[in-house]
Amino acid sequence: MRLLIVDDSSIMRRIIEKNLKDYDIEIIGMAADGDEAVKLVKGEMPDVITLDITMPGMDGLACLDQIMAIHPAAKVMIITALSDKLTGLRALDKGARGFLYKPVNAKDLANAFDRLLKRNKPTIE
Amino acid sequence: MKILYDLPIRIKFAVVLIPLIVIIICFDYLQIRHNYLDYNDSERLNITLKLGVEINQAVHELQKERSIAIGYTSSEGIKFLEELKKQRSISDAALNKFYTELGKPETSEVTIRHNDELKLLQSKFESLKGIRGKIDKRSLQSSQILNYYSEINNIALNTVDLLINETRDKEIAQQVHALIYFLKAKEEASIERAIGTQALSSKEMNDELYSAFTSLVAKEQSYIDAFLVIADAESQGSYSREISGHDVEEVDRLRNIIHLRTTFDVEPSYWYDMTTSKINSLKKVEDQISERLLSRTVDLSSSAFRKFWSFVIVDIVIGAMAMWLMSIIVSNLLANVKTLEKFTLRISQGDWSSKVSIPTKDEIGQYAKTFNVMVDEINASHDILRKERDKAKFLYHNIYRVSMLVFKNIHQGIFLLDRNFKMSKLYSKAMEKIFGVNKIAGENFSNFMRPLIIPRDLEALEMFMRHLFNEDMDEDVVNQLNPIEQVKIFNEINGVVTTKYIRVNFTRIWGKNRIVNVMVTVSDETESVLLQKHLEEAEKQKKQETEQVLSILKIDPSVIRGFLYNSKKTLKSISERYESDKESDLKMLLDFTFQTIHSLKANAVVIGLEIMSEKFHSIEETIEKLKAKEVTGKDFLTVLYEIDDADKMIDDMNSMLRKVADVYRKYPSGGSVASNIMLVDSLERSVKVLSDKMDKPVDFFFKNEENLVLSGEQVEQCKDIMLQLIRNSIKHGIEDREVRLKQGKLLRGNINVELEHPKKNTLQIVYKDDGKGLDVSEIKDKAVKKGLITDYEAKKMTDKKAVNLIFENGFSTSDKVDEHAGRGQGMSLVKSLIEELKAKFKMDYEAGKYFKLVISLPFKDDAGKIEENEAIDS
Repeated sequence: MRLLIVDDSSIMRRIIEKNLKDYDIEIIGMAADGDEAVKLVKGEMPDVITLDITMPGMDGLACLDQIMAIHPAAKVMIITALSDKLTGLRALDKGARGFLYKPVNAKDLANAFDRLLKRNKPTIE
Repeated sequence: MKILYDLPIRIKFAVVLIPLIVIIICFDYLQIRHNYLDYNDSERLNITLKLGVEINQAVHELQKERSIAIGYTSSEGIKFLEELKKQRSISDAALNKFYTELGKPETSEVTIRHNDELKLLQSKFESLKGIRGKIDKRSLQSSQILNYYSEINNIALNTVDLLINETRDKEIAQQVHALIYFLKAKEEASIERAIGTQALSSKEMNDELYSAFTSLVAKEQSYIDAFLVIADAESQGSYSREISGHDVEEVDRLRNIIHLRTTFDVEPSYWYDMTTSKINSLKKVEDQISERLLSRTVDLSSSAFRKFWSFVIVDIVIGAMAMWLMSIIVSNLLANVKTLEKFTLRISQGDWSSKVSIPTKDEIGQYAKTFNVMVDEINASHDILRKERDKAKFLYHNIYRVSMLVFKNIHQGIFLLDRNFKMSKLYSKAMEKIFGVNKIAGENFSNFMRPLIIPRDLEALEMFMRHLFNEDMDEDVVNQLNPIEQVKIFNEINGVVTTKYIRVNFTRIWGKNRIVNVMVTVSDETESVLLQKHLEEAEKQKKQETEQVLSILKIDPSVIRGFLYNSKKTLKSISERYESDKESDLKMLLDFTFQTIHSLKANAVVIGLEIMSEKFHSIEETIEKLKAKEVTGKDFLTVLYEIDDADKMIDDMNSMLRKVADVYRKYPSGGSVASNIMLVDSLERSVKVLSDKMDKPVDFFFKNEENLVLSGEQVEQCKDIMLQLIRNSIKHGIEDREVRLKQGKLLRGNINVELEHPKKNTLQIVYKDDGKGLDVSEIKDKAVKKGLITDYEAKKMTDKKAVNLIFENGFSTSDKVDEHAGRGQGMSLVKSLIEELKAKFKMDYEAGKYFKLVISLPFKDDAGKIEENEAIDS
């Protein structure tokens, strides 16, 4: 599984990266804005993409439109601090398959990725 | 037709059978009648035939008599006299036989029917006597005799013809006709005999006689021919058997001689004998035919009789049998129908226990069998239904009823959504309570929510529900975006709009591999949300109290005390002003209140008592709002209320302050030393803070600290007094750096507090600064400005008196209300605090040099006795 992280905050990108350290996924790139993200999607065709909604320039929803046009099979997980549910639902309309609120921790991320990738959760009690 | 269809079955049978029976009876009647007529016919024919036979016999004898009489007459009475007599008695015997037959009782019917003919015949027979007499007298010619006899014979033969010619049997009728032809032929033969006898007797034959003779022979022959054509084989056999032989051939030879009319040398008696022989043969044939006819009629009548009776018997037997069979079939059929009818009636009344028993194997039997099978099946179905019903009852009592009870009583709203977002018919009763509506079942959920939530949430809800039913979407992911997870709804009940906080959760319900429904649970969280708000408020309150405590701990208690004392006084002054100035300009009053509160707020800010500054700020805001509009007296109530609230807060803080002081007193943790240290420390800190703020470097010295023998409370109050004095000194007394340098003073100001050695339960505290002292004219100016004294008074007032003005309430040397010296605060507070401690004070100063205040403070000794001292009025 190859992952692209899209977030305008470098701290957030690092947090996601750090939290996925122990998760079985390969991070193939990070993008700080929509244009860069679209470029990377074109070049790398990642399997999984985490996408922020509020970004300078092209926002997350517009970026999602372009990503889905280029690579419809990509599994996109929205990671946002926006509490507005309508925006989240619009993202699902556009083809996003996962959703996570900021701030994120390793456990939430792992669970969300398990659901997104339909991986069987290890039975941990 | 409809009437026929509606008839009961037995009437239908009757309708069909009765005409049939009537037809059969009629037909049989005709048959029987026909046979009866046949029988009657044959009987009568038999009687008439017997009668005819007698008549024929008589005719036969009369024919002989005729021929003999003609011979007698022709021979002029010489010949045939004996024969004639003999013949006459034979004829009479034959006639008698006929009469005997006629007199028989069974013949009476025939005599009645043929009365006329028989009467005629009898009269002719009776005329015979007269004819015979004339013959004896020889008064008649041969031809006359012939005619008489022939007439009798003709009538006799006609009578026979009439008598026997009325049978309905064709065969017999034909043979009767054959007999009649034969009789006629025989009559002709008899006349031929007579004419031949006459011709041979007279040895001559005129033309007339000849033609008569010839036509006779021809007639005779044609009758025989006719007889032979219609006679049956037996009669023909009799004829050819009897009419042959010598005598017949002789008659033919003699007939030819007569025909030739040349010689008549033939004995007439020979002719007569020959012809008589032939006629006798004919008579034999005739008798045989009559015999056969008679026996046939007897046969016919007996067969008709037999047939009649056999018909009657057969009819009766057949009729009886038909009736019997019919009655069996019909009664069996009807009985079966009746049984079926009873059975179906029983079933219709709900009795399923018994079966119908019809042993016949006809359709009804089959129906009965089918019925029984049906009943069995229905019973089986009943059993199944009963079991199902029991099951349903069980389910109802154990599951459905429980669920219904749960649905009725649960406090959560529960219902199902289908894929069209329609709400299920079944929903928990709480739904109606939560939403205040009854129209729930079958409603579209987004329509249902439309009036309750904001449009943006509604749009999100519609989108959300779509994703909820999308099998490709993860349920947890979708549920993270539930827009009405916790939502405020507005609903109107009886015109009153209420606000509720509800929580709505969605759970997918899967069919085989698609989501069939979504279960929705709604909980009313209004109470808990409100509770949460209350908690938050309580939290705030608590925070406020904590802040109060913290403020008190943080800030110098004396500063707070001074502030509180002053604030309370000021607030009271506002209330008093309201009381007294009721009629004055409300606008002005409001401005005054605002100014006052504003300065109080500033004071609070200065000492860092945020909780009070916030409170004053909120009063300010209230007043600000009132300022914007026309003010009424009522409006002041809110202000007063708020002021009262602030006053309470001040009281709270005072008590809090006291509590804190108590804590210190009760747990001195080092006794007075600790409180002394605290006193000194707080005074030092105050000086530092104030000097920093005013940008006036000041040194503070606290001397003879060990002499501090006061109680905690007294220490606190002392501290307040000191703090006020320090504040005044730094604000008003100690000059700016530049002024001090000009006057040759040290740049750094100096404040000294010195404790004298306590004596007689009195502690003397000496406060001194190296500031500018008191400026009498400035004080006077201020006092005039503040309205404490008039201009005139000021001019007249001594310096000593003038300086005491600084202790007046409402005197403040500062124009500006700032953080260091508030309105009406300052020396008046010092004075009142000193008075509270029942202490005395003495003020001293030198303009431009120093300000000094000596306080003599009584204190409790170890025995706790307070030295009562007179307060000095300075």
